[in-house]
Amino acid sequence: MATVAAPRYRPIGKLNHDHSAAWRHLDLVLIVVVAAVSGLGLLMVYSATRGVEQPYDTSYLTKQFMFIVLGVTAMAVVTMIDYRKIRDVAPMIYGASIGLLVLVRSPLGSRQNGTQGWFQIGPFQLQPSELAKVGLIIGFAWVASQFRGEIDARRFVTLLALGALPMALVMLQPDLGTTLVSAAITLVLLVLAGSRPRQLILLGLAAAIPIGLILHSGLLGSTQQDRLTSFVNQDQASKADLQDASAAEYNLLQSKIAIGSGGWTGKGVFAGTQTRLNNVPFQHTDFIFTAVGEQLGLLGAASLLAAFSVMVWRIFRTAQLARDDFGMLICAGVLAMFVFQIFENVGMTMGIMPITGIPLPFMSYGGSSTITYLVAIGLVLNVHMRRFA
Amino acid sequence: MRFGAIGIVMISLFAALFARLWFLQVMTAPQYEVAAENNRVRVVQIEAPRGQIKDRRGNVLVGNRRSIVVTVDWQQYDRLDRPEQSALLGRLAKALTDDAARRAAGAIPAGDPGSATSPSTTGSTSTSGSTTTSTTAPAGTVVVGQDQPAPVTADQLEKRLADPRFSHFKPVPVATEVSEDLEIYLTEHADEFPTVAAERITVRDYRYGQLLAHVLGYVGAINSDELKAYQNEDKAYEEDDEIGKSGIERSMERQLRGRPGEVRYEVDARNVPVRRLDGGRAPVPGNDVYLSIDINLQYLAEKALAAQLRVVQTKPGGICDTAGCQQGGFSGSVVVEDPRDGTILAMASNPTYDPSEFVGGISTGAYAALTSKGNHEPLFNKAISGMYAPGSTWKLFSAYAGLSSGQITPGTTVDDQGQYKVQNCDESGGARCTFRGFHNVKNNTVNLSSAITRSSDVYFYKLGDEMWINRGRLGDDALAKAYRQWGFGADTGLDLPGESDGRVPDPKWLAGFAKALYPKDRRLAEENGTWRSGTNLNTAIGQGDVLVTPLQLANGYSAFANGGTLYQPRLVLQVARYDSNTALVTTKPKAVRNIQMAPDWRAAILEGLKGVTQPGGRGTASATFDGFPMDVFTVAGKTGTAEVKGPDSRAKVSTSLFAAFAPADAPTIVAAAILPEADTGGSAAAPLIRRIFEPLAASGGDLSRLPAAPLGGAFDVDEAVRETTAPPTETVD
Repeated sequence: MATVAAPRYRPIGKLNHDHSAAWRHLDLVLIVVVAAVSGLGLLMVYSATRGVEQPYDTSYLTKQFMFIVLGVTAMAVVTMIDYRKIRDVAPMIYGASIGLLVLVRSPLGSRQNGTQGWFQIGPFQLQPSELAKVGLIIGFAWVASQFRGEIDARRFVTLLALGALPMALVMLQPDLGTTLVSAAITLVLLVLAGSRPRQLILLGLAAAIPIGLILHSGLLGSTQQDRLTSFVNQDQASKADLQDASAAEYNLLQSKIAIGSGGWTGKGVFAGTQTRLNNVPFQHTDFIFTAVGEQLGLLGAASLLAAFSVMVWRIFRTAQLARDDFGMLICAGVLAMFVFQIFENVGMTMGIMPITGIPLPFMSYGGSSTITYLVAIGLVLNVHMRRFA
Repeated sequence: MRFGAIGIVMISLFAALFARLWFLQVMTAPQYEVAAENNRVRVVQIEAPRGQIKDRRGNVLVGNRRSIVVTVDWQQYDRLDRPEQSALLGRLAKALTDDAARRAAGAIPAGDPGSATSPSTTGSTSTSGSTTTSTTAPAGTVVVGQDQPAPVTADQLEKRLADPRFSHFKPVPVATEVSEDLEIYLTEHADEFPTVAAERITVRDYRYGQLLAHVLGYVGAINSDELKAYQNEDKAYEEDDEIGKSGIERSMERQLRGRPGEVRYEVDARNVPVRRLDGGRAPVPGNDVYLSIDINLQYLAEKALAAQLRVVQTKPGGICDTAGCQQGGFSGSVVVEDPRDGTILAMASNPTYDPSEFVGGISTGAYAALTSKGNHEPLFNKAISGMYAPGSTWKLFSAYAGLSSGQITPGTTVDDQGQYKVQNCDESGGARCTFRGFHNVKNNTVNLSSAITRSSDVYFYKLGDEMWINRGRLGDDALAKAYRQWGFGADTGLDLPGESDGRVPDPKWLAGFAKALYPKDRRLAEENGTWRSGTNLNTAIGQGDVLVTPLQLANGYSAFANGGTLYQPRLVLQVARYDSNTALVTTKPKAVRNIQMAPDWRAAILEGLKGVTQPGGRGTASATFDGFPMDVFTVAGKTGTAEVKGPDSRAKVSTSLFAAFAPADAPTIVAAAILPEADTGGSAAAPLIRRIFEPLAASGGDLSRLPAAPLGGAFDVDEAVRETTAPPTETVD
């Protein structure tokens, strides 16, 4: 779609006022940035999974490429359907995502790393918690847009409940990371839906209680508890011998070694020893940023962050330009999701955020997540190109 | 407005990420670069062969030989399934047990595929230790080559593999000294024994068997204290490395140890080696150490010691004195020194042990046997660590004390009627006033020379008594001061670990000793801690609290023999690189002090010492040296018979001592022998020294013309007993 060029004899300025062809208002900058980051992601996933010696393992590369193709297809479909038509089926989308979250708790779902959050479909795994983030955004935007900025206590609680339901289900898996993303989405949407400052302050105070309870109960599971402690005790962890470190301390230390040793320009693609020798656990998924930091150095990692900034800026701008509240809230939700995930993911690899299992958009290996993010971009493109009609 | 707030939050978050990225990749990058490199590279050490130990003529005493060791590659083994692992260990245990049984039955020889190429003879640049075959066997390896082969079980093997002392980067040794047959079998059935390999390794090779065992020492796996004390960058030690545990192997550890080679591997996150990196270095063998020992003389000394002990042990009816008849001759030691420079020519301690027992690890039971009192502590080097009352051998030094203090002159005579009454003695005070000479023998009028020749106790009782009477002028420790001149009461500084100080008592020492003995009872402490005339008398004849080591005795006589220079005795002549004879270190004679002796003093004492061994004379060893060719090889010496009380205060069989030098007028050799529980000096220690001096006399005193000691160092004790022309006589001290 991006390759369709506008006729040359027409002044570009005029395109903005041509209401008849929505696809002419496509956000090309966003598309280019997403394509560039996804391409870099492919390369990084390959470098992190190809192994030490020939024959190199290309299975992850192939699969990730397939996910991107599937995701782009889904994105195209989502972009083409007018988002106001999507609004009509919003309750069904929200309901379906909740249904999947319930279903994954049944024996149909499978367990991995202590979390029951996957459907095993042949060789592929579907992670409903990823899809549910888009479900939440659409459902929330649908309800909130009907309130037209008039949020009384009942409406506030209704909106809160919309966000809390998927959060609670994901927390039960348990998947702390995705729960936090949903929380970030809900919070930003509450703010932009027109909640009163008083309501938000009360919410903040009330949230402190369940957060404290969760931290002190066994609900988090040992892995998550360990990750939080290792974040708090980071100074000790960096001094600790790698042999004695707990899994999370080890992960964080190896991650910092990988990024730090990259220096200004990095060690070159396929030349990063930490990445090549598989020293950072989960380096092709949650810790993919270490591969960038080590192999491409500050130059590469900062460029990636810059690309993410542009992406976020384009989504932010679309939210402002949206012609209605529904479109605005969808973009704001996607914005919250990306910003939180990027900050949390990159932050945890560098030791300024606790370790949680959140993928880095368009970089981390994974089907459900890649498709979800491309669909989310599709929604933003949709709102952007239909901002006049 | 709300968009603005959210925008600001987003910008701050991204700013935080950029800042952190800058911190990690620019400000602290060097530290992480080092960490990443350490993460990637593992350095595996290849142990280098130890240097050789040679005698003064370059005969190799300790070399290295190849041994076959069975190893399991843990890295590969770990990848096998559990059932595969146990099946493999079961098969391996059976193969090892069979091999051990066949070797024990003598069906096949223990695996020695020939001695290793001596590094010093390989002139080429190829270091024989550049391959994995140069690793030495860590101690504690299951030795399957013992007398009664206990079956090897899969359980043992599994424990061995899990033992944290063994690096999982190197193949783990599970059996040493296996036969070549087993090596071939394992190689041919490699498919049945995955991860198992038979490797040829270097172990210590004792060319002369048990000879010189105490001086050479043995090697074993390094312990944590040694790891701390010996660690250095050039010759780094690892957990299961070999280190010298005793003797020269220990005192010359820093020279003998080779420089380990290094192989660098790149490893992945699970520490599995991924590939071998360039760099690293080949191992360099340790330096060779040349000892002052003459192995041919050592052979004579050990043979003589063993033979003489056998004679004492098998004396019909045991050894009889006034206390009755008892068995004796359980242990003994002899030191032979060159008086001209203090070098040790031979040093023997009996009972002895086989250092090759330690190759590949010694069992706890065998080690306990080597250190048990019941077996007379074979591991213990009595020549430097054993402390004995010197008896009449002490009279040489007492004579010096008398002469140097002016108490006597060479012409001083005493009428020896077999006993001595202490002057001004107050018997009512409980003190002993009458001291009897040995066996109450009456020597009549004796001067200094004849007092030494006949070992007159009364002469030296009188000397001791009068020196005590004159303590106001001479000092109450005049005797002790004189003895210390000759190196007694302190270790000699020999380059061998484990030397004892001996003991030279004086009034101050006695008071402190009694105080420590009776900390609660002041009266007893005072009574036992008071130095009286009698104490001085006993000290003067080498009884009482005097203790010497055989090495101190030999060194003291050497100082007299060479005219008064007390040398620090030494064993190491030089250290040379493994591939050349160029000396890196050459030791020089080190004189501790010159002892002033007027010519007439020395002449009188020498005359007395010559008389001791004078065939047909009245010396205490005259009978022993009957028929000895004194005309070609004059021996001068002094016997000693020290009366010892056992722990139950019952008199034990006396300690037999003899110290001698030859040729008497230009001494080139000094020998001292001490045999506890072996009767008089003339009956045991003196014949022992004669056994050593006879072949020397036959070669005209020239060490280089002595018959060569056989490789393996074995001798038949009964045959050795007959190898002397000495008459089987009993003499008195």
